[in-house]
Amino acid sequence: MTGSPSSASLPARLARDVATKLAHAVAVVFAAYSATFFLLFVLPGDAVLARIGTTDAIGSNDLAQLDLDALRSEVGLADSLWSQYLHGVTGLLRGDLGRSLITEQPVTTLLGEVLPNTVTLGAVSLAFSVPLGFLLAVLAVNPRSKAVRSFASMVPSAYVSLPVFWVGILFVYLFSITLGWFPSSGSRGAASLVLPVTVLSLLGAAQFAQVLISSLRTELGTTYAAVTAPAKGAGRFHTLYRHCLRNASFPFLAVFGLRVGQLLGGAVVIEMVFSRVGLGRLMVDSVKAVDLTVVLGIVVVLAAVYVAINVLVDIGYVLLDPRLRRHPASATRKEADA
Amino acid sequence: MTPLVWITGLTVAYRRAHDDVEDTALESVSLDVPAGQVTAVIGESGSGKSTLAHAVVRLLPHNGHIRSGRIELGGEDVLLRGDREFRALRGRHIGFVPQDPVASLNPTKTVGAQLKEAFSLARSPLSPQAVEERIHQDLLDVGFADPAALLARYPHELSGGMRQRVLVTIAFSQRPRLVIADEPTSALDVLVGKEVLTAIHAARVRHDTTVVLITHDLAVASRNAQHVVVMERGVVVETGPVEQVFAHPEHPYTRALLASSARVAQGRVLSIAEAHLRRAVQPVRETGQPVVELEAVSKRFGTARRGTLAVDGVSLTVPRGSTFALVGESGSGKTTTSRLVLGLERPDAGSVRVLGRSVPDLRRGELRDLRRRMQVVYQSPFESLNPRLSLRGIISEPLDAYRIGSRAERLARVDELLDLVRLPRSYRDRRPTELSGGQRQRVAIARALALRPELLVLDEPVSALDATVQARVLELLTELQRELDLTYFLITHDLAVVSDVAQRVAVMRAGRIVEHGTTSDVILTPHDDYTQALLAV
Repeated sequence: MTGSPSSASLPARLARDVATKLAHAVAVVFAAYSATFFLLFVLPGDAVLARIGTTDAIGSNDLAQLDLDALRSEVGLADSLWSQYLHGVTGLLRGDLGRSLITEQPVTTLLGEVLPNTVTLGAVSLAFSVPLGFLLAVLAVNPRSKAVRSFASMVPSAYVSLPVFWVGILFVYLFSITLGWFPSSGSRGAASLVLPVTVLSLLGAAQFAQVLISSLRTELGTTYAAVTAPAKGAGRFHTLYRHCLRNASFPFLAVFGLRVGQLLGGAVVIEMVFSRVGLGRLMVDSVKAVDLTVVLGIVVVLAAVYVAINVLVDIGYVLLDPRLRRHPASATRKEADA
Repeated sequence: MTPLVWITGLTVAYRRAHDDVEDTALESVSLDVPAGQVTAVIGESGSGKSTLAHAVVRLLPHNGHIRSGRIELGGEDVLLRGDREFRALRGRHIGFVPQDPVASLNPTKTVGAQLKEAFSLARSPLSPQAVEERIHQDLLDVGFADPAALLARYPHELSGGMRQRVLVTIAFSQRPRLVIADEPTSALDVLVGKEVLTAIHAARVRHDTTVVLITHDLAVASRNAQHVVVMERGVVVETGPVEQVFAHPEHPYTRALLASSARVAQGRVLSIAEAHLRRAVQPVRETGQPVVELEAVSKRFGTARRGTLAVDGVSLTVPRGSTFALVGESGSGKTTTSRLVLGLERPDAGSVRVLGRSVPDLRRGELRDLRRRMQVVYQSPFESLNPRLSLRGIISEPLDAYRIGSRAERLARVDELLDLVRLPRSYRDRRPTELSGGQRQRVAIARALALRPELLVLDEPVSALDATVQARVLELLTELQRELDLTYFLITHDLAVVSDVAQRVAVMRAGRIVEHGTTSDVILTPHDDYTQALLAV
């Protein structure tokens, strides 16, 4: 009588799971690439026009149609939609993301310039927001004092309802302009990280705390925590720490995955407020310039990261929850022991 | 005999969520629990028996508090202890077996870890090795054949009865003087519940523990306790030795409680056969075409190699106007069989005919028409009613779905149905949360009757209810059957429920029907071992 009642051998099942996940990942990245490609074509204007100025310029000045066509064929925009798409996809398969239509730098170089900044910002802020979120959640459910609990459970919901740019500007005003402690902008050095990391990690902590508070309250109300553990002599903190925290962190994992995505793709606002170089900012600039190849490159990176995060979150679930690792005993075995 | 626990004038109140009004759950309760024996606390839900159990271990819900009174344990007034000092009593001096074995173990910790935790929390002086030996022996004592393998398993890998026996082991592990068991068997199948009670007795006798058994089941109280405390609406109405109280009840409530139970008479528990002879079911004339006909029906879940055969060659017929009972424990396939009848599952083999139609061959629209004529009442009236709807909304939902009648006609029909299930018409604007369990089940029955069906599938219709309420709901069902010429397909794990409502019974085990016949034949002359075991409860 052992704990793993599956009949297929474990390595075989694992290999099948990994293969499925990989196929899934490739499909997601490919779908994201294709969807973005065709969406961008539906949009009016193209990189050439964006480079020249505005679409109003056509016809009203002396720019000859011929010049535009020549420029277009130079960057490959004159080809048919399908041949452009095929060209892009084959490039993608070779690991070549192409060159920017505007600056003509390789997309990989552009990404290489901004990614370290964005990843550092995201990773550092996550490193702070996870423990802070747990701390807030514990403070919201554990202390005897009702005042402390209510205050700790109010803070996260209050903070998430503040707009990020507003908090950012407030911090700049307070800590850079008034107090002069940290630089208000730039992407160089650790000091420039302090303010954006603070804004982002507080937001992350608030989001994490919100889900954790509600799931902790649910867990604390179930019989194993409300009756069984205390009946053995466990105190409030023991019950919380040894029994509930792990079971309450399943919804947290889901939010964690979402947060990582937000930090990579949605850091635009914070990068603008603090004038930082980063992925979000590059994306906004490239969309404005209709720089197809760069936008597509960013989309591919983001899709890949999302897929990777999802896999990690799934693995996290399996590690945390034995019910996903081991299926219920079969009926016959139950009867044998009952 | 000296009492171990001495409760005097205990008053407990719950604060309501929205206003600061307090509801008194226990009103100056006084009782004593004799040492070394079993004291049963009986009463319907809402009588305060569970509140009493939780007040003694001071594990009331957050909105509950002890207003006044004394709880003496071995001569000490434990209410004078602060929370921290009281915690030292739990586990070491008072053990607790909770009601619901499914939610009472941490799903992400192994059974072994949860057992060992009881020792570390109680600061047991035993060495780790001695702890392991003690756990091993205790698990053997409550009937686990292979304790070593059990320790590495997680709760979801155990059956309900196994989990409850693990919880019994935890409660007794520190050799407390007192163990309180709060409805330890009400969530379990009858045979499994019997095993759990046996486990409690084994541990109690071996360690000379005083046990307080909270139960709504008079047969359980009578069989397992020496003393009984009868509670009604927060007040103790009668106490005394079980035989005396059950044979000569003094308080009118005790008398009513005993009268409603088919299983207890003149102070002793009747066997199911005896109870059946006292209240024989009315026979019906079996005429015309049967309402339900199953012919060699099989249903498998999963693949041929790994799946389970949930229903294995089942044949049965249900004559019009009668009640057919399918009896079996959880996992026996009885619910799957009912789902096959309802057309919610397709059989892998065999034929399913309901009201003259072959269910698996029906197209979607035809099945929808047939469903008008067969309706379901589910087990838990707490989950099967949408808490946001009023009773009017709930009962008229089938009428809305089939677009029957005008608004006014539907309203009139709702009133008619409320009359039918003996609920006041004024209840139509109430919500399910304002009703008791029995009233909710009446609402579920009214909803099932809204479309004037010919067949009702009753899936454990009373097993979530108190014994007294069970009797009333079953009575209502029997009356409705006569008034409306209904056919019942009743699913239950309890043969005692069957004895006075069903004309025919089939006993199911592991997907097969092991015994089949008229109720009297099955109950009075059972042939199969399993049926005999069920009847011996």
